Amino acid sequence: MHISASSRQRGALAVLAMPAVLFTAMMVVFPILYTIWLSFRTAPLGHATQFVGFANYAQLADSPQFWNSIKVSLTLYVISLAMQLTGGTYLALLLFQAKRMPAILRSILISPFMVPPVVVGMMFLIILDPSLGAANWVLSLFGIAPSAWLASPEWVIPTVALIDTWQWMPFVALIVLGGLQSLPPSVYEAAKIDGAPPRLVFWRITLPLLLPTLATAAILRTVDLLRFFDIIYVTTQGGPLNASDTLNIYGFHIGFELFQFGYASALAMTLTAMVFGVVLALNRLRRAIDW
Amino acid sequence: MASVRMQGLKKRFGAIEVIPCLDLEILDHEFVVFVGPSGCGKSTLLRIIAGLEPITEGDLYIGNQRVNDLTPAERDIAMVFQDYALYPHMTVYQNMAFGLQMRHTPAAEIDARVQNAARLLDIGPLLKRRPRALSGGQRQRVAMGRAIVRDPKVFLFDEPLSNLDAQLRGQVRSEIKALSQRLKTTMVFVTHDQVEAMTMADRIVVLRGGVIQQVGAPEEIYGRPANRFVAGFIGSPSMNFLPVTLLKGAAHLLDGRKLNIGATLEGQAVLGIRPEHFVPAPDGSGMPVEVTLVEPLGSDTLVHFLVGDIKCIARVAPDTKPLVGERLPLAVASGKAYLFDPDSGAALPAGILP
Amino acid sequence: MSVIAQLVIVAAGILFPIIWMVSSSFKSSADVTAYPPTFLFRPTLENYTRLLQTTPFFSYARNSLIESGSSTLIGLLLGVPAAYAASITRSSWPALVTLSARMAPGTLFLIPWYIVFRDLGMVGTYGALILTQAAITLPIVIWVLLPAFDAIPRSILEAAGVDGCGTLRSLWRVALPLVSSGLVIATILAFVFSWNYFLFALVLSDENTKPLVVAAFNYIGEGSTDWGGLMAAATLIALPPLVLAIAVQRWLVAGLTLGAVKG
Repeated sequence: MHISASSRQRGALAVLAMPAVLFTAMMVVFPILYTIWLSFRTAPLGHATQFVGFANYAQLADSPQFWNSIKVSLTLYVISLAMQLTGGTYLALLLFQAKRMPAILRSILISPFMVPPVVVGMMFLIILDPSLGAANWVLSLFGIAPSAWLASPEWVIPTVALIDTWQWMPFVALIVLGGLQSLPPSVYEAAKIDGAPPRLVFWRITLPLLLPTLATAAILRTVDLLRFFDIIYVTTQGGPLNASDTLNIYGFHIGFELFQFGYASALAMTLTAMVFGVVLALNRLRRAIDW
Repeated sequence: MASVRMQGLKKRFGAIEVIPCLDLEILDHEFVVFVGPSGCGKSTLLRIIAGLEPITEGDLYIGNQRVNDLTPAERDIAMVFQDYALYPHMTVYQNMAFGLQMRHTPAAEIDARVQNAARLLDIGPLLKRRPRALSGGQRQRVAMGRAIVRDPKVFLFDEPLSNLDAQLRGQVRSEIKALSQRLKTTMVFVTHDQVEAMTMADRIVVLRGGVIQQVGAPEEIYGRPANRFVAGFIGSPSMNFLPVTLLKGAAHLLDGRKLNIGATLEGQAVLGIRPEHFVPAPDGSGMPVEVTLVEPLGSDTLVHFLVGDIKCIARVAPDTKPLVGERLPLAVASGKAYLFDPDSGAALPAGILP
Repeated sequence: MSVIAQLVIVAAGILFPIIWMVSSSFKSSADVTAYPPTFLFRPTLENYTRLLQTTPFFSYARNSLIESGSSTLIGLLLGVPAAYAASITRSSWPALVTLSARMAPGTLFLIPWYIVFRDLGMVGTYGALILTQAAITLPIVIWVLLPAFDAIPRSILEAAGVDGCGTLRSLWRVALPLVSSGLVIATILAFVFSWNYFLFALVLSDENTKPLVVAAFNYIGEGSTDWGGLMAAATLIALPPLVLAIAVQRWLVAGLTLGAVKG
């Protein structure tokens, strides 16, 4: 009896996949195509759309607010990613050295990234509140002057990055811990015999071997960070003075507050291209260092 | 270039005693193989010499220096691991150079040594590659190269051939042997493969349960096994063991038949006969056995038969072609019958009887 | 500093905002606005009773449950067979689609959805919300289950075929039991992400279909200074995802990262 994928089996598999294919076509592929199409048109509320060529993209290129959003998004991305990767690696090394992880500790670690971002925004609103927040009080103990962290144009990005790091650094740590645990122990014994001191072992062996894992974590975080929306929408709505106006916040504002769908589509496409670009670059990097 | 000496060495993992108490001296320039079944403590012993496992009790000397408290790096040893333990992110060259860099060897000397080792091992063209781009055999060579460039006092090998296919294993085996004769360095080699032990060792250390069963040259281990365990472990197929009663030079089997072995002892014993020491006895002087299975190997033929309910194997010349069910008269080659104490398993020297 | 001490400090830092939220929800309005902040206080349930009495909290909760539950169900019904088929045929489109659905910003989908649902008169309906949330859950289900199915040795499925199982029966009787832990993780992650997802419902829900996260956001937007009530709402909203995640924590991280390592 011949059992490898017969034509009948292939038919059955196609039927199994069909509902998901149809749903995807309807809810994912069609919207993407529609958005591409819209990005070349104006779609004023209540009127027929009109082809405008690259006008929407040209408008983006001329818009200082768009360039501000690019700057905000990238700054937020770089700061957050740096904090999460270094913090996550540090935490993972601690967990690795502790050998075993009590269930309570793991519960604590997974809690932040399971809390709805809206709730995260709410909890930090009260903690960072200029008049009653615990943050200012704790900082005052160290002699740091109180500040309205989320209302300060200079501080809002680092503050939001810190909030996101609170939420996702443990996630990065758990991924890196998995990477650490899969490193071959004999390589470390070889390093011992080669006489590498512990500090050098970290820089010359552990870190290079962790790079693929770190790249994976970076890709996962990139996808979320470049699209940063929820926490900012809850806490600052892009303010003050557009200082936290990320691309996604700006796009939402254009699309669903100004209802300029064509322009918003062009923005969404630009953002998507950006995410794809960065992810592809990171993925190429990951392949290059996949020892 | 140094001897390795263990005195009253003990190793416990928690409550588990892996090595109860062990004394052994490995001579300078000697190639010693630790062999034994898995869990016999041979790898632990090697890792203790390397400094990867702390010693519970006792002393370890390399040369004249007590090294109990020295780190692996300070002991000036090199080790080839079972999985090679190459640094995946470094090139072959960097892998070999790393240990020297850690010792602050000048770059020019590192380069000279690496190139020299690469020539010795025939891996010159691979120096710029990463381990992932190497075959198993090539990785194994790089692992050896990494050890060679260090020019250590002692080479330690932890089953370095077990991940190679059979053909390559034979080739690398002879290469390591040739290498050891050329480098003239003390080598300690761990394996569970008796062929590796027999072919490479100057001396074999047979271990069981962390206890040395016998130390000796390969031919000594094979020809004069100290006890029933060593006799059974070395040699393939294994030695046949038959409980016998010795009487007037003959061994009386449980089923009443007897074999003439010319023993000078009398009493209860276990008779050990290697398969290759059975010889067909056409003149009828031997013991007729009923053949239950015939395995022709080409070079020779294995004949299975039962003595009572004990399965036995004889290795006979390939032109002997017995049929299953046939009665084949077998004798024991003269002087090739081994006798063991039925209780302790110790080999019985002629003339003494419990 | 010892490893344990450092871990305790980090864990305390991670825990602090959550503890602060929960403790604030039990503070009287005087305590919650006190500065310096009060650490010792007389706990009160007044925030919770006020929240439940003055807002339709339960109906929002019902909305959240309906929308997350249904979209999770759809995600499983569509995603499990698709992931299985993709794993068997080694086709890569589901992984690709999953990836693009994860990479594209929400607004990219939201604009066309909004236009179409508006034209169909579906804005503010459960239908629109469930369908859009299923676009979140389906990729998660495939993301988690594809590597789980891939990990099943092909010979086991071939043995099932030799034993006379058709494709569907192999999936139901052999493959699914083998990925049962993946299935649990997929279900819980899909539910939690759908429960937590904010953007789609922000635009597509109305007063009658609004889920908790949107209701809570509006509560802030009303310029309310009822910090106690806000924290009570936040605590209640965060509770289901936290409880579910902690219940399956052992497999959660593996489930979240498997697809990533493969992709």
